[in-house]
Amino acid sequence: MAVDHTARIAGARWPVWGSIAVVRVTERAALLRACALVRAELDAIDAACSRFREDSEISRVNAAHGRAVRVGPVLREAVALALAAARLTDGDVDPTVGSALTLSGYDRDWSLLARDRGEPPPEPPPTRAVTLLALAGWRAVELDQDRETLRVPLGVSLDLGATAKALAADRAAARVSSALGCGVLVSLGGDIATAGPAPVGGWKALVSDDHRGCADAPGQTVSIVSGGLATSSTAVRRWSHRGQTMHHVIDPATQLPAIGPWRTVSVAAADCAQANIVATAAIVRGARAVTWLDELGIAARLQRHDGRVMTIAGWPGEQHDEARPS
Amino acid sequence: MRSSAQTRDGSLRRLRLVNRWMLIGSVVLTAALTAVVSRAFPSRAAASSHQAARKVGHRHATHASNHAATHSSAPKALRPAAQPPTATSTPESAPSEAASGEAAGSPESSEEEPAQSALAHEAARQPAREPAPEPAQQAPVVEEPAAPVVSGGS
Repeated sequence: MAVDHTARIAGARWPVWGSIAVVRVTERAALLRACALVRAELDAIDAACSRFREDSEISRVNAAHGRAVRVGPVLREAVALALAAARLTDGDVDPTVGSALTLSGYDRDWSLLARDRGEPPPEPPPTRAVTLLALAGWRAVELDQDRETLRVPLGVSLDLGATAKALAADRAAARVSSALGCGVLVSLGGDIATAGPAPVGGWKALVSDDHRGCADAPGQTVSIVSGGLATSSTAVRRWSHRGQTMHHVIDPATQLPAIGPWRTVSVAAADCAQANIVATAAIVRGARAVTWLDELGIAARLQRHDGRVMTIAGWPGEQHDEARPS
Repeated sequence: MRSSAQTRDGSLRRLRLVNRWMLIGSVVLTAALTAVVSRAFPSRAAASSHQAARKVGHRHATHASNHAATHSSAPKALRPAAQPPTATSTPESAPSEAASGEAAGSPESSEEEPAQSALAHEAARQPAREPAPEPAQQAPVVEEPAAPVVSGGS
């Protein structure tokens, strides 16, 4: 349903988690309340899911040396989503790549990492046995919804970064729409969730390499009326580690940054979390992602390292689109 | 003659005993291997059935509930959006987002202040459907122009 609230659309933004949060609502009067609700949601997700906070629930689980830890509903929902992501992508999006990220030098919040690049890299894992345990991957994670406990084996570290941010956007958008009854768009680091009635013409979004880009950055502007839109890119959050250029999209099969033909993948799906899962999996899958996306029927835009673009399943084409393989 | 028969009977008894223990041992070994494999590949257990997993043991049941995600809103399948994105003309001719002063972390401009206070006034009059937290929050919230929201890597 579209509502002609164009004149009353209001928006706000602020820095969060080393990226930017954007909130837009179809009722100007609802903006401040919407921002407060979104902030409350972000605080809840941060307290449960941030591996950069020693006092977060996930940090307690990662430090429990293989023991089951009682956890709250937010972390349980986030972990259930992360495990569903792993199952639905055959392990291409795996929440147990936290160890690999840490070993590749991404061991603190991005803003701090960018500031402290001169520091020595983290030590290698203590034993080969621990590394082997880490290979057990997401299947070794035990989430007991009845007992409200979570257990990760010794040597395995959970990192919900790939899905928790998108989940936060979905939860925040749903909460705002439900509480205030207006249409809302919530973007967290470029992961966009919508809820409630969209404005006439839909919510406009520019898909680009970097969510911090300007409105005139290279990319494509599209409109969405519902669901979520997410972009995954290897062009951002790059750093140097032991002489090699790293990025944050880890291939669980190799425990190293993914190598493939795609620089940036944008996906529109039923919600932001699913869009994020598919976009990340497409980067990891590389060329195989084309067939997979076709089968899922999920609209996507895949950009190669040389800038050529391929669109799938109804994503609007561009003037210089790459020809699809027949 | 009699002693050789006794020796044969004794040997047969021992053989029967050995067979019995071997049978018990193989059953125990099979059960142990099954437990190890189902622990290593829990999704197989979940696929067989939640009930079957419960019979094997509570730990397997937790795996099954884990992957079935019956208690959470985790998706069971990846679904496309109700409507795919549509092409849009070039972004509206609004000043770029960086020009709003947010990129440098500067406070709100004086032009935005009246808008903010007007918003606050309207918000105060607007009845909410559920009690919302107070608008006052830690960092300043900066208004932005109606340019498209950027979806990019983060």
